[in-house]
Amino acid sequence: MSTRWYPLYQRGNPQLRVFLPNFWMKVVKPKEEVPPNVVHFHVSNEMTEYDVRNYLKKIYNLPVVAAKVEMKNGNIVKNIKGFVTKENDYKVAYVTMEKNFKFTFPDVPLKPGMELLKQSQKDNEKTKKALTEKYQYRPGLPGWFQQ
Amino acid sequence: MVSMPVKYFGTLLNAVSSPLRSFRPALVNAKARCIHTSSVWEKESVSGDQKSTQDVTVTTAKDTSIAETTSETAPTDSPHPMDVFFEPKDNWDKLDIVVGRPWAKEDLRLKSNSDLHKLWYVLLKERNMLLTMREIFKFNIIPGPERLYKVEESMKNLEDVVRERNKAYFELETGESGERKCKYELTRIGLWRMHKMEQHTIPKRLNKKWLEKYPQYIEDDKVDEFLTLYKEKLLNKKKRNKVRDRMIVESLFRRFPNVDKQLLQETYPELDIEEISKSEKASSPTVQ
Repeated sequence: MSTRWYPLYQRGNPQLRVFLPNFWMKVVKPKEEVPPNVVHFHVSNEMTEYDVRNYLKKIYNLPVVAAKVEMKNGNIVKNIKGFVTKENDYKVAYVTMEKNFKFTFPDVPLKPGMELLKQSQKDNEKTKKALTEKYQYRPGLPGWFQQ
Repeated sequence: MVSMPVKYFGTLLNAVSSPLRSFRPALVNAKARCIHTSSVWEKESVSGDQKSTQDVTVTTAKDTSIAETTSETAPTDSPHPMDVFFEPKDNWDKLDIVVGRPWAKEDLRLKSNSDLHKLWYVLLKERNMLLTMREIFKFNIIPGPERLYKVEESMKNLEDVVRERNKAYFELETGESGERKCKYELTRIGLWRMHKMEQHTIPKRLNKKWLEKYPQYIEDDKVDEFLTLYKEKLLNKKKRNKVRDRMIVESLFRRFPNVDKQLLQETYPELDIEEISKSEKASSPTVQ
């Protein structure tokens, strides 16, 4: 590896081998019901079907039978002010494993995130209360000076 | 055929002999880590029986490596291979996950090439796990959000170290860095762009397709006009930024009259800070 440019292949050269792959893959919950031996991924846009298959086989030791790749358009989202923006495009990989393989997407509770949010909101309210109590009565100051 | 056994990457961390195990604060039991129950991964659970040998022979026809791994290392409560993509179950209820610092270049320069190769895959798996968790926690706060940045920084450092070694080797052997060459070229509009060099069978001036895609720079009145306007635009932007910075510094002097001038000069090198400090706008109204 010299740089992150995709290495040139010219006829007669030895087979391309990537020693430090920079690809990422993340597991995604499928929108519809799928058989237990099918897993859906979001992958980096440069990946091909061969890349996906080799990545899962060699790095994760998964029994991959087939992999299919599809490019999807990013959603078009409207801002509060009315500006229309487009999110980035992304690639989806549909991977089927062997028959015996069974995988269901786990239900990870979102507790910690929600609790953190609630904590921050409580802290904000506390500080507001404390400030208002502290500066409630200040004689000689005009009303507009108080926040 | 010898192949790596199916294991989670926690074991790989042991392989890399390091004093700084920054990405796993504490290694947890394999049983506690697995999200799915043991019965999910059927092929591993059935081991030692006669049926299992039949299954293995069937699978060897398809792919030898997987069958061997499953038959050799198949404890009854082995973790599901997809568990590596998710956070271990112990950390699900935690509000915050504390980790160490990222791998610095000085640490990585001490490691051998094979150690770096192993560490790369540890980091890669960790990054994939964090990306999946971020996808799950879409609009919520993920516990320990700085982990992803730390992983990415250490990956970048590792890449740089490998690149250093590669360059040193090639310069010693061949007198050139073994990287793909690049150069800066003038485009048709008169702006510079980076060009990745390749070998071609046809010379550049005869290749019509390439010339259509990348038209060459020609001295032209319209190009000069465009360049003057473009430079003016850039200059105006620079001026505006300077004025904005000056206003920020003045407000800082007003609020904090004893602010460190040397630090301000370092942050805003284009401005003359002493001149601004003596100006009227920088003087605070209370101190008179």
